[in-house]
Amino acid sequence: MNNRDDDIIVLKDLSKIYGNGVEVRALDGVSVRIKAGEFVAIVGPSGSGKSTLLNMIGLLDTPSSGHIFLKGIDVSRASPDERARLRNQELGFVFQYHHLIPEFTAVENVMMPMLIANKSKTEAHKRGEELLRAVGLGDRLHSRPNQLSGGQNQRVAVARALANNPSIVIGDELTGNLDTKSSELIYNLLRELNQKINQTFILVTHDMTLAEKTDRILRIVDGKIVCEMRRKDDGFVASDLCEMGEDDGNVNQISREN
Amino acid sequence: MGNQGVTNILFYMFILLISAFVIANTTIMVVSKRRREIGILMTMGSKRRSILMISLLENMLIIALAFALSLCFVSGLYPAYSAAQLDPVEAIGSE
Repeated sequence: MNNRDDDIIVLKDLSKIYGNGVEVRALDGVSVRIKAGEFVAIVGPSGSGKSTLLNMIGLLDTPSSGHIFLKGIDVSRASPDERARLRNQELGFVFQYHHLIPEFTAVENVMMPMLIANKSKTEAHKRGEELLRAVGLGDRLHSRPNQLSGGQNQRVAVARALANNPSIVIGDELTGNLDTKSSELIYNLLRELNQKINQTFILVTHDMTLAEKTDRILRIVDGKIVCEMRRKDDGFVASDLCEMGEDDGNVNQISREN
Repeated sequence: MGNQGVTNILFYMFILLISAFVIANTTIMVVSKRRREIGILMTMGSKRRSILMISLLENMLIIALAFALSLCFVSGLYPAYSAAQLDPVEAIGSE
């Protein structure tokens, strides 16, 4: 698998083995290539390795074997400081629970990644305000997380993830704690950003309704990508080697590549 | 150095040791309470060195506060002791 210019992240034969004695193979030779500006969903049953894969892409964990290329550079064996720098500059994270710092206001939370990147307070505050306005929270800049609803907090978390204008935004079950209306709002927000600034989004989700709105679905089972589906017109086209079982991975409007 | 001196030093060392345990215990509690926040800071790109510095700085602040409080206590100790030793007759008669 050769790297292409438009690939933002390339995983080559990635494996992760946990445990001493009794080994658990969380990822088993995963190879995948994600282009800049793609909107990708990773789906699969619990314990299939989705979050492990996301942690690898997010440089939070190191692989037991294989390689991770970020913008063509092998980062799989990067030093902890270099990984921290890349997480700050190239990656943005949104989790199931917003994980905002409770003592800080919305704008202060959004400023955090910029202050870590040594940007000035004035600059960080200005950008924080801009981002909060972009996610529809321009009137809640100085509210603390306990004064905001779940959906609003998640929007602050999205703004925080975008603070340093990262190449990739990673979401781990980011709508898992939200009601349908808030989930829809968050999805629309991400989609808009994806289209407007060509930002790459990689989301792990159990929510097939959300997954079906993305451009590409990767289905992972027992640490292996067993199916890849790409959006085509109103439906999805599954790759030849798809092993989805009887439920077709619960994806609606699916067809097969010939 | 007499026996009294050695006893005093041992006693102070014991107090210092207990203080160190209390500070360590407080730090462990703070770190465990903030585990998730530390994790988030790391996902946002904080380096391990920065996390160490934040934790140490917080410790130093606690120590400085404790030191200031104990200094206030010590400086108030003599006047308080003197007040308690007053002879009521002398005190009433004095201008």
